[in-house]
Amino acid sequence: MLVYIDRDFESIVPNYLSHIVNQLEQIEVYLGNKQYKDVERVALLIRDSARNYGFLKAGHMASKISFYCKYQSDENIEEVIKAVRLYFEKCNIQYVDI
Amino acid sequence: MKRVLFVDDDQMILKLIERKMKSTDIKCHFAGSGKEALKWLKQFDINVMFTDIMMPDMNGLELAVKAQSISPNTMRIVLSGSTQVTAIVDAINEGHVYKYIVKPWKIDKEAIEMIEEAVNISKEWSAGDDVKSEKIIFVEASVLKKASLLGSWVLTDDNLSVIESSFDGGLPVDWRDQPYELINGSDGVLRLYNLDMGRK
Repeated sequence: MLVYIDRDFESIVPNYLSHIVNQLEQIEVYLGNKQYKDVERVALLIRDSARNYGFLKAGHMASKISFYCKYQSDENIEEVIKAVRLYFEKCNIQYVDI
Repeated sequence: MKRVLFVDDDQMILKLIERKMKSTDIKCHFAGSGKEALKWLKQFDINVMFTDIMMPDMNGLELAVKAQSISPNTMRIVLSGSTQVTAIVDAINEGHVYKYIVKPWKIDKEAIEMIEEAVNISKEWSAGDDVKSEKIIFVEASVLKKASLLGSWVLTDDNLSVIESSFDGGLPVDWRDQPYELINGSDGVLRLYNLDMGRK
């Protein structure tokens, strides 16, 4: 999947992506402990930061995690975490002048 | 001399800022932690401090609170990836921040103008105690729009209540009767001015 990101952020995106990996791991730990409030909090952070950088689809997916937290639907949350992880692994970032 | 301090635990972000600020006449200092930032604040007369919120050891809001006591005339600006209302309100109430900026922050011509403006206000604050007590809300309009607090630029009773709660009792009791004006600036920043202070 092709994602267009502002060239200004090219040097900081790699760190951001590894930060996302950590946050997803953090969510999994919270989920394992049934700490849904914390799952939701981190998911919302991912949602906001992903949208701010321009990873709009990831932002949308992260918002789904917070939605499923309300229903404490572990299965759905796990599925979305996988999808977010896959998205960041597979996305083809193109840096453009905006 | 204009001095600005940038605080972030991500060195790449600091390097990016350093690169972008090279062309300005602003002396920039960089700190990778809250502790390091406090050292700069004690050592120099810093006009503006930009800080990330989520940092290990000391978060940005804790740093803003400490900075306020060490260097009250330093304008505190928060950079955060979060656009949630609670994060914004916490920053205003706890950190008494001058501005809340969403990360990643594009440092373009307008951003540099904003930094210059903050430096100038800080210098005014340093010049007189009466001005320092002025209360101004500076929040990125886009953030407030997202939060649906002030979608239109009309001061309804609800909006006034939100502003009031943001100041956590810091406003005069009769502030609603005073000539305040809410301005959607050309730079996309929302400001609440007390017109009595004569600065607009």
